[in-house]
Amino acid sequence: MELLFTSTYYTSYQSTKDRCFYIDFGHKMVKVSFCQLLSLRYKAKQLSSHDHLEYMLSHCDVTLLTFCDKEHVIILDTLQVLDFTELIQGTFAMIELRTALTA
Amino acid sequence: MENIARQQISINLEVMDMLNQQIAKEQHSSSVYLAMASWCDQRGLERSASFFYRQSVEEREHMMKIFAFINNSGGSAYSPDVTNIAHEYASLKEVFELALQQEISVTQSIYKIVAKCRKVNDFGTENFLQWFVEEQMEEEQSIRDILDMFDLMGDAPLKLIDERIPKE
Repeated sequence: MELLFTSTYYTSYQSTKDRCFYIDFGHKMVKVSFCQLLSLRYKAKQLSSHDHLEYMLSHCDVTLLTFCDKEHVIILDTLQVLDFTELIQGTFAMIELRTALTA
Repeated sequence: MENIARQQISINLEVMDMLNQQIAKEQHSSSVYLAMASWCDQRGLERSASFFYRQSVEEREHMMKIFAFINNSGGSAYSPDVTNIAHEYASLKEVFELALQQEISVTQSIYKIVAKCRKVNDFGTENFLQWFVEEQMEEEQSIRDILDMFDLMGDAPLKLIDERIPKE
């Protein structure tokens, strides 16, 4: 497995052998396809939107993140949401960098 | 190291995001035209109502084209939320003026995506969007022609103007 990006709490990897990606959430390692990674990117955008963060700050400090067709569910607080967003942005920045380097 | 992501998707991710925003715009346009068709239908303006019903279907077809393109390219298309659709208009002329504004806004949005495609060398998507560039030119012109007709008809009764709205 090759390291893609590390944020404060989470880490992403690419596995050429398995042709997929892995995300280490600290308490568990989750295998995701590229399609599922795209879905996480979409969810990260939604969770880190101004409206959602404001809702979290004023109502409850936790949010549920379900992914891989509801196979996994994790609870994130505001800091973890921001960190998760950073992980996804960093992961896709690395993917894009590789695309540019191999073009 | 192999680039697994590039093997799965053939379009640029930022372009994909813009295409998803375009899906929302096309769906919004479809709903706006449906509201306009309803307004015309309720006032017995049958030709105008038919015109906007057709426009509504066309915009939905545009949305579906982009939707399919994203998914067929290995990306993820997202079904959009549609809100803030106006249902009140001051006159039939205002309806067509707003329709022209709507088309101009869609055209500008398409141009922005084409410009982005050129910037990031996403030639596949740029090629796909050429059809939309032509289509937008035609759609803007068809509404402009109707607005010209409003000016030429002056204070003619609304029914006479409605009868001159193109059937197809």
